[in-house]
Amino acid sequence: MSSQNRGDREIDIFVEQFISQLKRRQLSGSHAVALATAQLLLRFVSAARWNHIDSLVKDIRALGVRLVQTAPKEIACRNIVSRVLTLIREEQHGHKAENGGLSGSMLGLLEKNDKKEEVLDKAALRQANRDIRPYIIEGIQDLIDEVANIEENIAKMSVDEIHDNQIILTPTPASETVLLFLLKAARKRNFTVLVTEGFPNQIDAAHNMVEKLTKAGVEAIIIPDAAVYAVMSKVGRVIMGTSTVLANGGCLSSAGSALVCATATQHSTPVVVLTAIYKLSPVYPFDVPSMIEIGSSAQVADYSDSEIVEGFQVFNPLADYVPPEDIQIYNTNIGEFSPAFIYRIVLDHYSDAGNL
Amino acid sequence: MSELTPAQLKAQKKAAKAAKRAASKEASGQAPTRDPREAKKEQQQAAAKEGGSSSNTGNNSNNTQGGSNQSSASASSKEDRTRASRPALFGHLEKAGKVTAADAGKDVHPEVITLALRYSSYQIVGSSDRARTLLQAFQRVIADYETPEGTTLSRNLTTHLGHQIDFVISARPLSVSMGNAIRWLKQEISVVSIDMSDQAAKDMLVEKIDEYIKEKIDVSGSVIVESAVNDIADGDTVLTFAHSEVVENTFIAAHQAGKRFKIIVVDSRPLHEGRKLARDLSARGIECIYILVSALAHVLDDVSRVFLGAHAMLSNGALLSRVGSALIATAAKRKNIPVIVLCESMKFSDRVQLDSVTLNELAFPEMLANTYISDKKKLPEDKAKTSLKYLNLCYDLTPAANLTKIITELGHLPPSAVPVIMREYKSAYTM
Repeated sequence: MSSQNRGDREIDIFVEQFISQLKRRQLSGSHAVALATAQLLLRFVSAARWNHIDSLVKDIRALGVRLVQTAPKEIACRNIVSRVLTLIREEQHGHKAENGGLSGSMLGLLEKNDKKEEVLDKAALRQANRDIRPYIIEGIQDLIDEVANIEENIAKMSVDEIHDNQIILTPTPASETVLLFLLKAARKRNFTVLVTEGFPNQIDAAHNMVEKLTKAGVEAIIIPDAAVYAVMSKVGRVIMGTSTVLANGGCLSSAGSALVCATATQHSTPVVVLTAIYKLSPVYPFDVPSMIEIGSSAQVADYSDSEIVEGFQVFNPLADYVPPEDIQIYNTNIGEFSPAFIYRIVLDHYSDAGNL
Repeated sequence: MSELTPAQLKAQKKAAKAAKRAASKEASGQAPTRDPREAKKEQQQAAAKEGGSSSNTGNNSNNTQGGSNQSSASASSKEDRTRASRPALFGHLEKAGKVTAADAGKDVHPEVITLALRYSSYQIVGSSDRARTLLQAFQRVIADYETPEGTTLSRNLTTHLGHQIDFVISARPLSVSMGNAIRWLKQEISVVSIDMSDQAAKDMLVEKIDEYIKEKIDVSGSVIVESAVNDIADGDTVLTFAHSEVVENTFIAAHQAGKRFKIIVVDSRPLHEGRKLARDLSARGIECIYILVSALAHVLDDVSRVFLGAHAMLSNGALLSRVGSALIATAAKRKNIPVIVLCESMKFSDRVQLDSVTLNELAFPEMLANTYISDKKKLPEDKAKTSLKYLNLCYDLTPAANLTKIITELGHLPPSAVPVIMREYKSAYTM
């Protein structure tokens, strides 16, 4: 990494810039972060020099650790690094398998692994490593495409989810995925959307979403967060976005959504979470508070009022953890899954190699 | 709210009415440039001053000149717009009207006009407070009342009060506590003996109202506080929602009794009633955490008790309270946290309700268009998205299953005891 090579220095500058953007929250929102992380890694891999694939993996892992420390709550960032690491390992094994015939199947686990000891010819190995770069870059490119086009794929299913004259409630007005989903459905269905305010952090987003939906001819209504229980008996579906889906089938979403989902469950109203696969994370929610970002308390209480500043504590979380038992189904770009099945999908996309 | 003497108010009212009469005359006579629909509307307004659907630009009492030609014409178009922006699903709900003193009929007492305007602008909120202030205004009405010739007090006073009540309703629908108080007062009036002199009857009624306020609101409240204090233990974290008079008094009493506990005040838009509670309690040295309803999930783990105030307790054991209470009760129930309702028996209703949509009250949607946290600042007209649809419900219904117990002046009871109490004490309400 610390080579004096010009390309290396260029990528260093790029990495620093990316990190400072994350720190200042100029880059936020899981979609934008995921896309930017994937693009960063693409450049990183293109610029990197390595003798052995392990040193590339080591470098990427070190970068990943730095990124995660910078923005521990942007789990999309961690996810993308893990996905890339998994991808590199797969390419490596795939290559070895082609060259050395190592079996990738489950049966291999039971076999006595004599072949593993076999030391490949150094020159052949270097040859293999050089060959692998285009495959890795291609893999990352696919990942970028996946992240970029994901919302389209999810929105495709909207018509199956919504029936005519249905009342839909969404507690995540900032979610682009939800907006696209509803707009797509609006072309064929006639329905009403109730949007919670998400006060104080999402109120502007709520107004924007309602404005856009109204323009598209959908009856959209803003309701205060407190009115969720009052209207829930009339709601046919809760449709929400998420920032991260956890391996246990729960998810992180904007503040207030846990309460909405709890209310929906009490009313037996289905909760549908729209998510892209890159938001799936191998993390389990053992320590929920550590995953929740806290916002400015000046948005909750008027700090120009001195009595408030001195008098009492104020608290403004930006996210909520929604437990799997409050979610009916995950609607992803590769299909619909029950929360109980999420751990399998996670295993499909990550390996131990992806651990940071 | 400007402090006007009754005489000033009367004068203003008179002026406004004169202006209005002139306007309607002009409208019905020769006003070719104006929309006939608007003119008709104004005529209706002038004729039947019930004010239920009346409109005006101002939403407070300061605008007593509202009857003038221009402003009411623009007001009616404004009202059309707000009605259009009302969600169809909730079109049947009662809503607070924007009334001005000019909408009051000639029989309406100035005291009642002032009061109604303060209800309408949410300066007086809370079911106990609304019942108390209404009864106090009625004391003035009764004291100033003179029986017209050819009729008796017991017959005519009820009609006279009816006019006052109609105006109050046009400003904001009655609370259950107000309804109960009115029913009781009408009953009292109807049993006044014909042989009694008017002055004696009036004195008696005023005194009875005093007693009612004292017994049903003040003493009931303090009895509840006294027994509810026992439900707070040292080291507790107590959660409450918005603002309730009895709940606040309970916290203060517990603090004065030397108990050390923490309070979490949950608040919501648009009224932000909890702010006052948090401010009052922390000023007394009670440890307070203030959050908005969206942050609730993060604090519940530490909560040992939830205290809620009530707008009304219904006969099926359901609680009707400030919108958001049901959300809190549900979340607490899921975590097995006891939910305790503090409610005077004056707020019991024989009505039964199953959800929050069939019967509710709609507040002004504009309240939600203002996105500032401060009450003092208002979003500039051009920035506030008033064309969007807002649903501003006042109450929600918590099913009995989500409540642990209710504390009334008659003791600690399960929610299912409401109809029992109503039956047992029926005599107390109607006597």
